[in-house]
Amino acid sequence: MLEEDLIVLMERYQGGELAAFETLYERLAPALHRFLASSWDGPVDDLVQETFLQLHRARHTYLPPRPVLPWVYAIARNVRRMDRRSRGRHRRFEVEEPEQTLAAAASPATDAPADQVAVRDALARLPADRREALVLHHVWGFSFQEIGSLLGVRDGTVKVRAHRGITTLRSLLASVRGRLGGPREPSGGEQRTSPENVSAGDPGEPALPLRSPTRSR
Amino acid sequence: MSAIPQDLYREIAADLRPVRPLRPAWVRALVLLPCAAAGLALLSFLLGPRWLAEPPLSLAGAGVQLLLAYALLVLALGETIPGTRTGIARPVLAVGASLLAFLGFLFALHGTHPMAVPPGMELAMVLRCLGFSLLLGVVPGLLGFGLIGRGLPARPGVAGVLGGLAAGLAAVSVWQLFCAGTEPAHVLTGHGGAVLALAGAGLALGLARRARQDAAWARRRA
Repeated sequence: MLEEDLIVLMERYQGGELAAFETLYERLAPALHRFLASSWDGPVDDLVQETFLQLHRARHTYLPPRPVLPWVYAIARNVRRMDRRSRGRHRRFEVEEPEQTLAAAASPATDAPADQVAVRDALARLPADRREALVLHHVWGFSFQEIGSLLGVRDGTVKVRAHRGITTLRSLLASVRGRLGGPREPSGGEQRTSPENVSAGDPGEPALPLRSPTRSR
Repeated sequence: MSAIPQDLYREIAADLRPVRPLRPAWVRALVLLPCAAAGLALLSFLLGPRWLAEPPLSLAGAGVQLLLAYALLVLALGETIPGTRTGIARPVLAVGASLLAFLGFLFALHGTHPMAVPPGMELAMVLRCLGFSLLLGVVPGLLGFGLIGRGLPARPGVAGVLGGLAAGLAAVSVWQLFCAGTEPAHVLTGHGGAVLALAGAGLALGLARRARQDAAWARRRA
């Protein structure tokens, strides 16, 4: 999907062409569905529909020839936040994680159900901004640049958030294993699992159920 | 191929009139300048062209505050365009710079041209300045909030505060040219109070808008 095509479609949509909206919907809905599913525990269809409704009402706020995707994703994030607020579930969202994200995160690398539960719990305990960057990059495969556009922050900020998310996740998993009396970390494991000392690509770490980004646009 | 839900399709099709994209924020924020000019003309008509006798420092202070008010409104309107990289640093820096400029010119002017409020007149002078400043801030405030309302602010509260501060700062930048008092206590309460009041009004309007959106969404979901 070329950004230039989307810009042309948006201009036609702003001009009142229903066919342009239909094409936009066809092209954007699957990606929006994935995006909203990445941090949501309820039915996503409603949110996708509300996003398109908001997009329609605010279509005059799209300023050609700016990129369309950041504009669309910003509206989707607004809808997601609005939904969280209206449900009064701020606290719950801090401790819960969407089933779809967790299902996606449970890659074949995580065979044991206990591991999946541990990852799920650890993901749920991550700060929301780190979890969002981590999940969008490692689970859904968005590039840092794309995530920066989606979230309205610099690429470097996304990298830092994702990296801190990984290190925190590792720390949490290590502490969970310690509590459950699971396999102990190799010698020096405590040092390596501290956020300051663990690198995202440390081969000595236990395998995380996260996929490497495969998409590139 | 993703099928469009029927109710969404109907709603879109029923309201598919052509729309004109908003102008850039820096263009729309220019509305502040004619407002300030109109305020200056109105006060000159009501109170006489006192500002012509103001010291250069006072005129420079008014100009700088007006420019900062314009910058604040540009930021507020930038908040209303989804996908604009906003962050929190720029709004915080802009608000900080505006407050610093306000306080800096206040103390600089007081240092070079001290003018105490006559004894016994403190409250009356404060109320007068508050009244005129708020009066001057109403029109740019309403226009600013109207412009903000046309967009889709991700952070309505932030946009409202920035818009309110812009209106308040523009108003006091004009009013300070007609107020002889430079005593910090007077300026902070009579002029600064109006700025804070308009910023508070902006915040309240922004939060009210957000609450309205949330309630409408909750109703639709139900």
